[in-house]
Amino acid sequence: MLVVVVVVLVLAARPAPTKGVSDQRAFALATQLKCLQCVGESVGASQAPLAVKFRQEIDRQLRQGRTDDEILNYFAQRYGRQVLETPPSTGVGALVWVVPVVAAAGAVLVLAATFRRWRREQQGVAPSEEDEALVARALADRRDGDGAAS
Amino acid sequence: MRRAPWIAGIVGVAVLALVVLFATAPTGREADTSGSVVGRLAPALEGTTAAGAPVDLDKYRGKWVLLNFFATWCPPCVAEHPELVKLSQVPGTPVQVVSVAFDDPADKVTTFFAEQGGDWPVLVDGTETSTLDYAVVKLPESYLINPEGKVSQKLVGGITAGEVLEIVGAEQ
Amino acid sequence: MNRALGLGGLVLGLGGAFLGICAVLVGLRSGRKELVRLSRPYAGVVLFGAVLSVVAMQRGLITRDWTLKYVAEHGSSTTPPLYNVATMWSALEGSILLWGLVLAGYTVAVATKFRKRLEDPLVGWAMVVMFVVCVFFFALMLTAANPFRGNLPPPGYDGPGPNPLLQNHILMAFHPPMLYLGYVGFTVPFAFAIAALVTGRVGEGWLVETRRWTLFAWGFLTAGIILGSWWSYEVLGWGGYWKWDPVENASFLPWLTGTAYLHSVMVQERRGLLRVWNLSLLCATFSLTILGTFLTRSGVVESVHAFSGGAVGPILLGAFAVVVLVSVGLVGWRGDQLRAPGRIDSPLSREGAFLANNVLFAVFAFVVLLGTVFPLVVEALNGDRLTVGVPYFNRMTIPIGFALLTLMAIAPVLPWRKASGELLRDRLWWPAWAGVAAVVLGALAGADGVAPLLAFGLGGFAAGSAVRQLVLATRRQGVRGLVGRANGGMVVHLGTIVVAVALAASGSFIRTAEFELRPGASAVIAGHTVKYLGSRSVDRPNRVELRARFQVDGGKVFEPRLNKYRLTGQTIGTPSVRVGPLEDVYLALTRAPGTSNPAVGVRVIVQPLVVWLWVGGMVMVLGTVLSLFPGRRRNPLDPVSAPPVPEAQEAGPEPSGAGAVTA
Repeated sequence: MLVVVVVVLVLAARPAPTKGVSDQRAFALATQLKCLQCVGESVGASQAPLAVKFRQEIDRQLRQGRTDDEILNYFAQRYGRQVLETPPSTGVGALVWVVPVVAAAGAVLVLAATFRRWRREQQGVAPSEEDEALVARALADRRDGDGAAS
Repeated sequence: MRRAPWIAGIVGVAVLALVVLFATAPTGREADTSGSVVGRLAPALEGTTAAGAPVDLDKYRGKWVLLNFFATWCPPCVAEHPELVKLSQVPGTPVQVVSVAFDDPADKVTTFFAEQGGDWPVLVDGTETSTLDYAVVKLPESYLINPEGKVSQKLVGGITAGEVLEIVGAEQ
Repeated sequence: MNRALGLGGLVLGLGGAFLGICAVLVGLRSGRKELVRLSRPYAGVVLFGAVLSVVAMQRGLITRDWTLKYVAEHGSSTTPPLYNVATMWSALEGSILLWGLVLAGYTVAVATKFRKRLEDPLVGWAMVVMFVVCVFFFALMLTAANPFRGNLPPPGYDGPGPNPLLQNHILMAFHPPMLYLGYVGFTVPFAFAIAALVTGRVGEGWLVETRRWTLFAWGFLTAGIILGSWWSYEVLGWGGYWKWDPVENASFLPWLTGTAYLHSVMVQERRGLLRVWNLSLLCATFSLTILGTFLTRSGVVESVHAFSGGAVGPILLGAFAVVVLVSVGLVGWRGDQLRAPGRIDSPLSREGAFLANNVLFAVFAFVVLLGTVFPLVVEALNGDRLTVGVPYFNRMTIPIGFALLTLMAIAPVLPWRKASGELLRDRLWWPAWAGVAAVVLGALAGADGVAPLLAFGLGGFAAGSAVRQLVLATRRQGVRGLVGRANGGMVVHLGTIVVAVALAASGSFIRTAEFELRPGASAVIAGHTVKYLGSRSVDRPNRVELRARFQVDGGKVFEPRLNKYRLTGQTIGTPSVRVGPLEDVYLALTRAPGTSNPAVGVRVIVQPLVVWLWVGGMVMVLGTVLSLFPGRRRNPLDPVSAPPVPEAQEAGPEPSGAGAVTA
């Protein structure tokens, strides 16, 4: 039944027809810029005078046919790197992208190596028939044949 | 797990580093946030006053200019205004004040200057991009432009006439 | 009067906690049980002190006692009653007071729950840790964050009232207490973890003792976070509910490590593995609550709801360092005793899946923590200013979210020890089809883009697995198949999946537009017509409201507002939302109509499935409540090394907890 709920949820997720492509683009761009007059809000979210000005400028430049990157650069040149919500992919700033990926990869590698070592060590000690019979009897005692519950 | 003490050590060092980082981090972000125009040639600024007269910043080349971004709806700007008046009235002042209204209709600006005094060029129109060119963040903000047309300083928040004259005096 | 009462309460709390530490420590050392048993009355004293202070603060707020600095700075005679109560947690000192109250409550709850074995060193040490945390917070309130500072008000004084944003929606009265019940609740398992390390009883006993406490805290933290995002949605006026703001991250970090712990603890209970890891997770969760409080209360990182706090920052930072160093030191010291008695046989097993879950949650928490503090790191390194904003967090965490959904689909059907491919194929057959069906339906409904479709597919897959487990359990055990940790956990999974699907849909298919409309004019966005009917002004004691009337799709009329607060002059909007099961139409005013220009500025946002975020959150809390009830009796074969009377602790659910969660 809950599958049905999920299905219904998904059903609802049809994209609504857009009013104008550039309008969506303008808001998408605005959310890429930080509102320097506010705390912790993007230009897209804020109604601060500066944010409104930024959005007007984005609109103006979109009408002139500028690309997204050009527009973002326009603001970054004037207000500095911090106006961009996305941290840079070069220099020290790139660490914020690299470090988690390296850490995750490292964790997976360590785990994989540990499992391999465990399996190697385990091959030496195979359970005897008596052990297996013991385990089978113990398992039979349990109502849980499925392993579903903890 | 023989590695436990090792891991403990690594975590300890990492935390220590984090603590040092926070302890040394400057709090408050009042300092100039970009300063990218400071030291560079002042971006072009052209517009019209409330009366419709054109103003071009280049016309003031050879003089010190205090370019002031303000709005009549911004309380600190209102508080700063008497200082600007004072600065413009210093006899033989070396500094020309030029104001740019931020997001403010012409009639309000006219009324404001009529009530509060002050007689210098105030741009109300045609300045849409100059606010962005100068990277204005919080009003009021002032840019001190030297006779060569370079931005010598960015002054965030309300200025005082004495402060401006002192900077100009020191640089001359 | 209020000031004396409040300060008296704080001193009482501090003294009670301090004497409690002394009594228990001396008692444990000398073996005098009557001294150790004093921890319960002392806990009562701490709670009494905290209640006294809170009463004094509330009395001060209600009677507008301007001689209290806190009331003078954050109260006002025009604040409506409900928000007047909530003013207590609308600024730094008062919120620490709330923290102290909740902490004292938990201390008493622990002392009451374990009243029969207070002299057990494990419980005794846990009480000591609770008392130490109490001492810290009460001392903080008596020094750097004193809510009862005096004030000499000029005659006729009236305060400014709380931040307008915080008196704009009723959720503000409930979200912070919920969050604090969650935050502070993690002190209990942390106290037992430290106690286990100190006493050397690092077996599974303390885990069993605290598992309900952890679930309880986790449930409240979940509810607090969901209510917080609901508040953002209803108040902030941009149609968003989560923006990776440092304060949000601060509440999310302990949630992540707490969630990781709730999973990995099962591996330890069942197999005795991952002991160091579980201890670390609990210590991390607790220290992250302290770090979060520091980050948001010290002004180090900027955030919407940051309170600047003077000397509080360094003190909290010091506390964070002490907590981490003590935990790390204790874990290192007990390292040899924490050696696991076994190992994981195969990565394709329940325990392997839990391990993968923990890696994912740990990476998730790391990404969030790094993103939050990274601007500071860079500034310290080379003075550059940069921003780590929403695009970063989305790009980094969405893949982790996908991995977690995948795991959520596979892990519940995996047996312990080892699984075969055949078994997996057999058990995942229907869930996989559910996933395929979800994708097909999503595509038929017109959803495009890889990410949302993938989210729907994985959501359907995971929901299939959860439903399969629930169906099997209810078939076997009837209604009891819905309670207990494993089954309640599946209900929590379903809630999480609903939230994930709603996140994917609302994030991917949002439509925003801004309009300027004259009375009678309409705008069309995403197939919806919004007609502006006119506006009127309503006077309230604390603000003037501009109410604009909009008719959506020719039906009901909605009234978004702009509230101008009299005292501060700030203008804060209150959006109005047409909530629907399929999509919300969100209206927020951007500009009031003026004399020269009668047009009103409005932002219209059409966002699908938003309401399911809150529904999913409620399902998660419901699942947590179900998990709190005892499930099947513990299997005697399970490794349980709790020394004394573990069965006694299995008695009944905590009625207060269950009631409070559903309330």
